[in-house]
Amino acid sequence: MSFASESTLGDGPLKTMSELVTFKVNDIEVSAPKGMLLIEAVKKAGVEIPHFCYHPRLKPDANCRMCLVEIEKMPKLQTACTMPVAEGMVVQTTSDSVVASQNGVMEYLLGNHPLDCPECDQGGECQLQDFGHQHSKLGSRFLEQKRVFPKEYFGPLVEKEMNRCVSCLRCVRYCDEVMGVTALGSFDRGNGTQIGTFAHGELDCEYCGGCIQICPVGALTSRLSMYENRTWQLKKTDTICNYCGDGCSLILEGVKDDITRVSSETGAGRNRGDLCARGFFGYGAINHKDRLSRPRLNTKGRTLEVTWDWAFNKAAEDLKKIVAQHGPDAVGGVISTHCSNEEAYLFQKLMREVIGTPHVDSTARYGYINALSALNEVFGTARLSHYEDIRSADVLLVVGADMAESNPIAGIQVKDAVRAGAQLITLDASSPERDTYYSHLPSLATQHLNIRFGTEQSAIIGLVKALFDKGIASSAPRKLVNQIKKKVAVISFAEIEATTGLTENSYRRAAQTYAGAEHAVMIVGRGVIQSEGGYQNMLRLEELSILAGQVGREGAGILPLASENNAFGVVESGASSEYLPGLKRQEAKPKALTLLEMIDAAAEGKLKALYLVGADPLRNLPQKKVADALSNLDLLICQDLFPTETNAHAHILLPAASFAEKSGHYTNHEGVVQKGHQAIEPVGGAKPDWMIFSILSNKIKEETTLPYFKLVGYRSADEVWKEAVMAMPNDWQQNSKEAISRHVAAYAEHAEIQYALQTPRASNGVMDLQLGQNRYHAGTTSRYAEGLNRLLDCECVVIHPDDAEALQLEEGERVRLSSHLSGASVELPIQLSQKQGRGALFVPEHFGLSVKGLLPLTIDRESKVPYGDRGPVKLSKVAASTQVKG
Amino acid sequence: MTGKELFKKAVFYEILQGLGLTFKHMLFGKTMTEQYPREKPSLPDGWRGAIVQLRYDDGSEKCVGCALCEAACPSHCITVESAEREDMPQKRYSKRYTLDMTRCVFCGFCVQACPVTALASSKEYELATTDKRELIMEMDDLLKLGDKYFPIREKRPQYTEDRFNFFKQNKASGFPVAHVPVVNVPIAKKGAA
Ligand code: SF4
Ligand code: SF4
Ligand code: SF4
Ligand code: SF4
Ligand code: SF4
Ligand code: FES
Repeated sequence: MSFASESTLGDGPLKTMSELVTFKVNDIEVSAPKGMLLIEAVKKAGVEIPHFCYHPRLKPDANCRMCLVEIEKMPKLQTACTMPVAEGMVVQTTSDSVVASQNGVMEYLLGNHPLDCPECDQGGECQLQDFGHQHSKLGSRFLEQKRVFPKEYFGPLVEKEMNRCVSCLRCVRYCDEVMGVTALGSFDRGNGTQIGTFAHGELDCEYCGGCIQICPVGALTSRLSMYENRTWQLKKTDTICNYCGDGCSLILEGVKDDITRVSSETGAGRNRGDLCARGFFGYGAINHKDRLSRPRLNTKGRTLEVTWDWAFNKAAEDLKKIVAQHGPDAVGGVISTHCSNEEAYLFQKLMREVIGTPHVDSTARYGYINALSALNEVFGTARLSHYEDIRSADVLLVVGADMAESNPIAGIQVKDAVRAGAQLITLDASSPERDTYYSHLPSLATQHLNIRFGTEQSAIIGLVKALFDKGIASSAPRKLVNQIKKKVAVISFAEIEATTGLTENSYRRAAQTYAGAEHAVMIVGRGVIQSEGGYQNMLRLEELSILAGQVGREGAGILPLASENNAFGVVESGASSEYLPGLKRQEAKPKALTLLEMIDAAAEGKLKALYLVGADPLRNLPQKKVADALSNLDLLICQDLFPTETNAHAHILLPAASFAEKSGHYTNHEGVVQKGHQAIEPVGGAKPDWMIFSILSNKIKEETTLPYFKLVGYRSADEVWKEAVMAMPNDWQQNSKEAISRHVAAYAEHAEIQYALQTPRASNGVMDLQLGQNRYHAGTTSRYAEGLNRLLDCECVVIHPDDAEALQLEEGERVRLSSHLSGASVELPIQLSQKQGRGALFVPEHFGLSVKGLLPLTIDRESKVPYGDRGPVKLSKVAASTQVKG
Repeated sequence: MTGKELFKKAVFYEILQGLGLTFKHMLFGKTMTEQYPREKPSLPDGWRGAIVQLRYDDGSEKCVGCALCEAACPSHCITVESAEREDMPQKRYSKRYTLDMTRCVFCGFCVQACPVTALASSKEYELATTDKRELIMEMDDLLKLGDKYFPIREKRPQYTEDRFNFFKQNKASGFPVAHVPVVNVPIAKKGAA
């Protein structure tokens, strides 16, 4: 864990900051930390050494020889990209011999270079152009023909032009060293050296876009934004990615109000400049033609496009009417976890203060609330670890998370740690094999606890039980230890094995590694947080880390992964039925309804009006029930980017601005609050959510017919933010060891710990289906991104090749999934993947609604989270004659 | 200041000198009035008139849509929207090229900036119109002007064509798309390198 008081955001323990050495470059004296590479250190003197193969994100490779410099007392020129600075070094970067060698390298590189800069998308940000201008002589002595490679198709999103390649291998090294995907390699030799896939075909990888960004020239460029703009035409805006909880900084680039490219700055942000496919190629949703653009009213079966003023008046009027008739409790509101902190704050203020109803909730109710409230319950905070801790930890325990799919950038931190020698323990039902060009954490794990599908709960018991033999950390409160000890004593390892399929030994080994670590970080994913018993299982995991002493101290902690970008922030800003801003528990009277209870209340006719901001319950909850409930409402206000199943029922539909069109603060799953900036004006006639809430509040409060713009309460999101911060406790972004141990001690006093083994399910020809996130998509907005659709644009069933073989199924063949519970069935094509657990199926959740209907829904007793992502299904082949063309 | 200089200043000597030349031409020179528009001047080569677009000998436009002219233009009168050519994969072209002649100062910077000599300064100077919108010229207008003033065309370089053969074939039948069935492909080919 990082404590704000103790200098946090540096890279790991303070290892390089120690000694400073003084050296001279071009007669300028500078000092730099010992061991720093010369190419970096000279920047302090304002000197730039030309380079191609060096990149700060990669290990030095010294293959391009562009960075040669003269160092006194060294016989030959040295590569600055591999040379650490030393005390008293005297470096020349502009001496005759250096210039001669630079000219030589440039002449050699340009000897084969097509110099088609006018057509090349890299033109304007090309290192070959820049260094060529500075370091080459005019003219070339080469008379020979330049090499020409035949043009290859390199996949739907990456454009390869090998004529421009300078063979620096940065792309290959990025793919290996950072992503761990190893999709790229270099072939042939000499002049003919080229980059490609090992199978010499189309690129098939995670499509993080890293190779495109890291290529110093235009050999690899984005096919998605190909030839659209020149770099100097683009306006760049820093913001925070809106697709998942990793909180990556990215730069939106565009001309006027059209975002045409995304990039990132090396080393910047939580992601240190790395991005995933969704961040890099997912910008297409912003300017999509289907975006809602005008407010709409649906009255008496007619749809009217109206002005904002009209829509605001109507919404305020209708809300007031309902409050007058049925009391404020007849109104409920749900906000999406993609909204900013400002918006969540303002929304709960609108509901609680202006309308006066306690019924506020957010879509964190679909699962993430489990993690937040369980952490808050035990530790009094949910900020327990940062990416820095992951990178410097010596043991990582990843429970129920497929990080390469759901949170790729947090996954990169884990990969980095493993490369640095950390031991990785993974616990989930996936197989430890990996598909060739996709990374998969269990394949890197020192210990992969390959449990049976859906038995996380029992496996956690196994880990806790095994911990007791290893010895419990002295910091764990006695009372808690004794209580847990008593509970696990009655459960035997034999029973645990019967359920989870894992032996006593594997639990012991894992528990020993975890508890014996100097700094261990536990990462908890959707397999726990968003699956049956999520709240209790999260508590059990927290207790595990308390018992092992791996929480509440520097460098160790727990990180719950969020699949939405601001799940943490929206709940913390108070948009949750149980919390006021700052995660203060509230006791509202009457009891505040959660999302699901609001739907029930609407069905019963108790709730008359519902305000849904970006929430789409029809997609996430049983459709019939929700549809009935929605049609029972007197007033349904929806506020969305795109038309959805839910907002088709809306009486008032308001078009909202996307993250690119507003500024605001977002809190990622580490609890780091970051500001995103506005890149473009709202598309169509949309308005930012905060502005809508602000205007609507005024309309409701004031009995006036003045046009809305005269009444705007908040002039900017910053103004809202100032107020929202005031509503938070003083130290809301900080935590201290003392406060945490105080909370843990208090928790130990009142904790009622339940341990229950699941009953093993007999298989009898039924397979387990898990709905989840695909690496190319997030939620449903990403479906509007052209780039991501080129990677995956339809639903499919992922199955292990062995299972497929046993069922005589081929890749792409259609199968029928049917539920013996509901009798419903769905036909889908299959996709093979080695990492899929045997006997289990996976369907990406982003597309159709029908698969959801196959799965049973259970509701958490405490946190009221609806679990509907897992369940048994029957899989059968679709007879060839009835095959429908896909 | 000497007395002579003072005298010259007092009688505006330089002005008298200049007027002397004027009167010389007025009284003894040949009449030079041009009967425009009946009579047209013969313009020197290198005259910087309206900017035009040129073609190669096969009639295709030279412009590759690099937007360098846009970047060079001091009066911001050029707008280039580039894209990949539909019929010729990997070829950049300007999907839309607009030159606002009302703002052009005929400096010729764009001509110098163009890396493929697609632009030229023509001898067109009769740009007066009753509708200013006509002066906001699109690619077609500029090419038409180019055809008028530059009938001799450069030969189109051919060397880049062959390497696109593979592409052309595939473009016709449609590129493979990394859809559902792709994931397993590398597994089958595992080890191949
Ligand atoms: S890679 Fe750089 S130097 Fe080469 S054509 Fe592209 S912009 Fe020009
Ligand atoms: S494709 Fe780009 S990054 Fe890769 S070796 Fe060539 S020049 Fe370097
Ligand atoms: S989707 Fe998540 S991991 Fe990918 S760039 Fe966005 S925030 Fe980062
Ligand atoms: S001649 Fe000068 S002002 Fe006119 S378009 Fe060219 S660069 Fe612009
Ligand atoms: S006219 Fe020349 S400089 Fe302008 S876009 Fe076309 S090729 Fe580039
Ligand atoms: S940058 Fe040092 S050898 Fe390439």
